Amino acid sequence: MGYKECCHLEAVDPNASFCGTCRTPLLRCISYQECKQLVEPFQPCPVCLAPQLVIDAGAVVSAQVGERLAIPMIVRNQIDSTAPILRPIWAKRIYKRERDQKLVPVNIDWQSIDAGKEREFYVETGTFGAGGTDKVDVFLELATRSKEGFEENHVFKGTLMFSVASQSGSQQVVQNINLSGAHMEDNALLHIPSTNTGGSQEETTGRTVDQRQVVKLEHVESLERELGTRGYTQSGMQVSRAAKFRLRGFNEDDAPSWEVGLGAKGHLAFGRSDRERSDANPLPMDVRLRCYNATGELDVDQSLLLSRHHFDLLVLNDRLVVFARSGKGLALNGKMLGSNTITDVNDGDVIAPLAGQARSLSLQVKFISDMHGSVNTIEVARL
Amino acid sequence: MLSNNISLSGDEVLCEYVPMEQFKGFLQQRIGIAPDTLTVLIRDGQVADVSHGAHLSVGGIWQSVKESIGGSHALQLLVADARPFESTFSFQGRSRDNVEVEAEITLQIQVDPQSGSNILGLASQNNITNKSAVFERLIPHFNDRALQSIVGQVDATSLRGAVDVQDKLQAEMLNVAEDVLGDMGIVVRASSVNWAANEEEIAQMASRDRQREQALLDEKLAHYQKEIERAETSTVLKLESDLAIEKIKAMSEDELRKMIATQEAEFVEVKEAAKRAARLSALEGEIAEFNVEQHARFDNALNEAKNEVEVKKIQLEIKQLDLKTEELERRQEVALHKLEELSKLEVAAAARENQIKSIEGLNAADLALEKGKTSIADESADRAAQRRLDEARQADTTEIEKLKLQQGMSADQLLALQAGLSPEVAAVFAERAKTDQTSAAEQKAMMEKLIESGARSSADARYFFEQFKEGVIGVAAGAGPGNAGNPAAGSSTVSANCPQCKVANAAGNEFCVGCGAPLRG
Repeated sequence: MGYKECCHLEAVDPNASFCGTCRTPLLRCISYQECKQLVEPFQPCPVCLAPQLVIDAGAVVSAQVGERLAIPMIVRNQIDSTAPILRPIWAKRIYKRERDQKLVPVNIDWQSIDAGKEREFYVETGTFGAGGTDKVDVFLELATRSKEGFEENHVFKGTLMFSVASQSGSQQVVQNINLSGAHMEDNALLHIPSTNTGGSQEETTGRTVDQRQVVKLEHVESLERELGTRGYTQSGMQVSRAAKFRLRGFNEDDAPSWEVGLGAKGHLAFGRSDRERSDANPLPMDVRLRCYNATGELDVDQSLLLSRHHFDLLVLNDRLVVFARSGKGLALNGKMLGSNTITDVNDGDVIAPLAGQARSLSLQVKFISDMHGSVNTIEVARL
Repeated sequence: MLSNNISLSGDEVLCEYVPMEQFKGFLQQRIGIAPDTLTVLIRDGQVADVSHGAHLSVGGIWQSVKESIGGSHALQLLVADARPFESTFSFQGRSRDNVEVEAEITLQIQVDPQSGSNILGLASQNNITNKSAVFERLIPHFNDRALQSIVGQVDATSLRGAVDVQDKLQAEMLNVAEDVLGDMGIVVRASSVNWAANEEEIAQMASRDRQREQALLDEKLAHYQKEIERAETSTVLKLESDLAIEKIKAMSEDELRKMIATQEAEFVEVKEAAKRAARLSALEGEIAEFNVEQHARFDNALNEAKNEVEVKKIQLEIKQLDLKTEELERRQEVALHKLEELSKLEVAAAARENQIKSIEGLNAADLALEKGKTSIADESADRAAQRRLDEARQADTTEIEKLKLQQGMSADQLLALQAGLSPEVAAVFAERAKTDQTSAAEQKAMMEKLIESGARSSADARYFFEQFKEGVIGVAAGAGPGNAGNPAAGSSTVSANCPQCKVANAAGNEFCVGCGAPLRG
């Protein structure tokens, strides 16, 4: 997206959905009220989700063939406790992957890291089979949560390098450690000159790090889809938060005739209330739901069965989700959804706000994606 | 061996005994009886055999020897006609409405083939039993028990053709026959009743004949009446025409001409009137048809128009989609082209770098070889590495300091910083935003003004806010809390509403902040 100064200026207005100067959609973080951050599509909020992966001091980072290591690691929430924004990071899962093997879950007994705090875990390697350098990838599946309880999950990867001595002879050990700055986008690479050049076997094994060493984290979007953290794993599609909604089959006053985005609020509201704000209608809807009979006249009785604010459509974790606000009933593909639940919506799904009623109204969702699987337009058609 | 064929004495005979003595003799004789004759062989007073047709051997030497030793058997042979026979008798009775009725009853009777030996009950020892004997036994029972009882329940005119009555009569007659003759080896196979015309029926027929005659007479009368009318009319016409002819004869030439013209005109007028009437009625029909057609066409057009509006809407959407797709494709092409160029540049840069590196390496090796002072090269490389390390550390430190600085900042400060204000100005801005408790719209307006003013230091920023407080620098009207919902209300003069979503936008905006639609052009 590439936000400019004009975009940040425009974003001060909480109702602005686009920059009036450069037309960039203003995608706000789900906790914008606290962090005031605009986010890129498919990317995490740099303020709410700022983890740091560190190798603890005293960790042994070299071994010999046939040995195994247990590396003490620390995950730190970089938001300082003195900062006005104190947002915890939620740890969903941690994985490790050695060489080209499969992802293996790493046991952790904690679930959140408060601002400025850190948590520890261990990465155990397998038995080293050959001398030289070896590596273990560590994957952190982390989430940030808004006040309403919405979660945005992301996966980050850090790589641990080890030196492995062979059984006979000495070898040159070269250690490369990626040292990052305080933020993740830095590409700085620090070469620490080798301290062992052809030393004895005893000198090249059991070497520890004297101080904590930061492991550079990178955001791995493709693994997010593979793990099901973001996007749709089966179809490979991902819904952009900048996606436009096209509303078909609605009466002229019930829905906008142009393509709308999620807006400054970050969701599309569906309900019985009018679309215009007034004293009697302080919470206007984006799409007004009404029931009509076969002749096109308003069916008042059926319409009153709908709640004023029945449900929301929003994009979370690159997926379209429906947030059922009403206790009066909402079904997705015939299955009833409980009130205050968030459920994923797939391409072709049917949302029925009056499920179970005699003349229920149904909305079908259709994704329109580009050739790379990015859904930029969502069609909601009234059946 | 002699053989004899035995048959009944006559057609009227039902059954008779055959004398056996005539067949006993020296020579054995064979007796043959036809299969349509029932044979009952009685030996020693008991029925030995019953069969349709028989072939017996009687007499002979061996039989005589046996009889002389063991004694002879008493043999009797009864033969009966196994074929069905029928007879007709008449019945007279009274119907329910006391009308005398007559009928001819026909019965078809046969010796029961299942229990033929029972015929012995009818057979006379010494005489022939005729078929008429059966009817004589039966008919009296029919008259009293079957026929009269049923006929007395029905009117005379309902007897003929009443299937239920016929069925009842037949069933009753069969039952009576079963009762009377069932034990005697006789069965009634069928019965039929033929009714004679009774008085009622004759009277009905006579009445209908009279009605037909009357109708014929009425028709003739009507015909004659018409003839008379016609004759009268033609007479009147003739008289009138005769009178007219006389008149015409008396007319002068001018009067004649005038009359002819008038009559012609009248005739033409009548003809024209008839034509007009015909045309009018045809026209009325056409109008009615046209009305119906128009109504149907109008209804269709109305439905089609609705569909057409839908179709037009869809076509419009498709067109818009096509345009968007074209635009997207164009942008993609441009982006791809840019990427290609960039990657070419990167590849070229990387290649150049690699070249430089390899040349540098070669140079270094050459130097080392030439000078033979690898330690000097190592030292300089160490120094270079150390310098790079120091630079990187410095950059990191700067970044860390910057972030440390930012860590202490509030969200508003961060926002102001991202919007382009310097850290000192951002700090002052955040402070004022907090103390003055301004709305988001007012904050935005203030930020715009700050940027415009070019304030870089905190003193500049404080001076700006003092000026603002004194009213020298103002924020545009509409920046109050009442306009919190309006995206454009906090900044400079509000322009017209967006043509698409009707949200008010600030002057100077090129795109709508509500829906992104272009506001100019």
